[in-house]
Amino acid sequence: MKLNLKRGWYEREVEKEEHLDVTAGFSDVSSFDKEVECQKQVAATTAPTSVPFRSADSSIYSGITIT
Amino acid sequence: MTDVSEVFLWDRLNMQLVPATLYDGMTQTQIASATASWQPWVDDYVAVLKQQNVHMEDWPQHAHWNWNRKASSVSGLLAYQLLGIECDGLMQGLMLTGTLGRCKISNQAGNPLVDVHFLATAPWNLRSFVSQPRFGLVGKILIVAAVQISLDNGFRGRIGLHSLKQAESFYLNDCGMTDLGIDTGPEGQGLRYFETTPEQAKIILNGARQ
Repeated sequence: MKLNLKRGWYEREVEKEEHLDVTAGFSDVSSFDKEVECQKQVAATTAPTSVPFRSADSSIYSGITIT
Repeated sequence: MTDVSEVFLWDRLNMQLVPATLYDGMTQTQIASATASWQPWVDDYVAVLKQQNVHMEDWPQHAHWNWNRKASSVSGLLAYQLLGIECDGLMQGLMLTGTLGRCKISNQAGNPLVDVHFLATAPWNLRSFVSQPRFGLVGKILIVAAVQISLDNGFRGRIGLHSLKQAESFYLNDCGMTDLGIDTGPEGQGLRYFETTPEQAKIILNGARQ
């Protein structure tokens, strides 16, 4: 992900003075941990998959393996 | 792989915008370094609170977050992204996002969104820790980054998060997110849930609300 914010965005935001006490999220023991654990189990039990892709500068398709 | 973007933070001491680096794809070394620089501030502050017999409910609610453990737990999982903003040689904020969530707002219920699982700014940027916070815009830029991740994934800027009580005003008033109330479900842990629509995401990307 690339972020490219214009100068005007910063100038508008600086006019406000409300960007201080910023925190969000769960505590450490949460459904987040369960979700991650589930993802790990999926990753561990899923067979490697071959996915075709096209290189950026040609029409040649190659095979890569995602595990 | 790490994507790097130049962003700007508001230097509250010198009252000017200063360049900073947004990392999408933090290494565990970077996380460990950030934690090492943050922790003494947290420890010192908690020590003062204990000395003053301040009730634990009034301590910073994210003081116990263990970013090293979070980074380790999602290592190698494609659904999660760890982002950080570095400025002045130090990590000024961290965010952990995921792409497995589903929208709850009725007119977009079930659509995919980016979950902001954890977001925190460095202690020296928090008014609750210091009387003169160092940098501003850290949290807002991370939220904008979450919106951008959502757009990149084809989720039209939709993001969702459960806010700690101390940050509710930021998400509601500053970010203009929709407040869906306290989440009493097993996922919510009694925290207030906020979500954006594509229209709200556009406003976040365009800058301050009018």
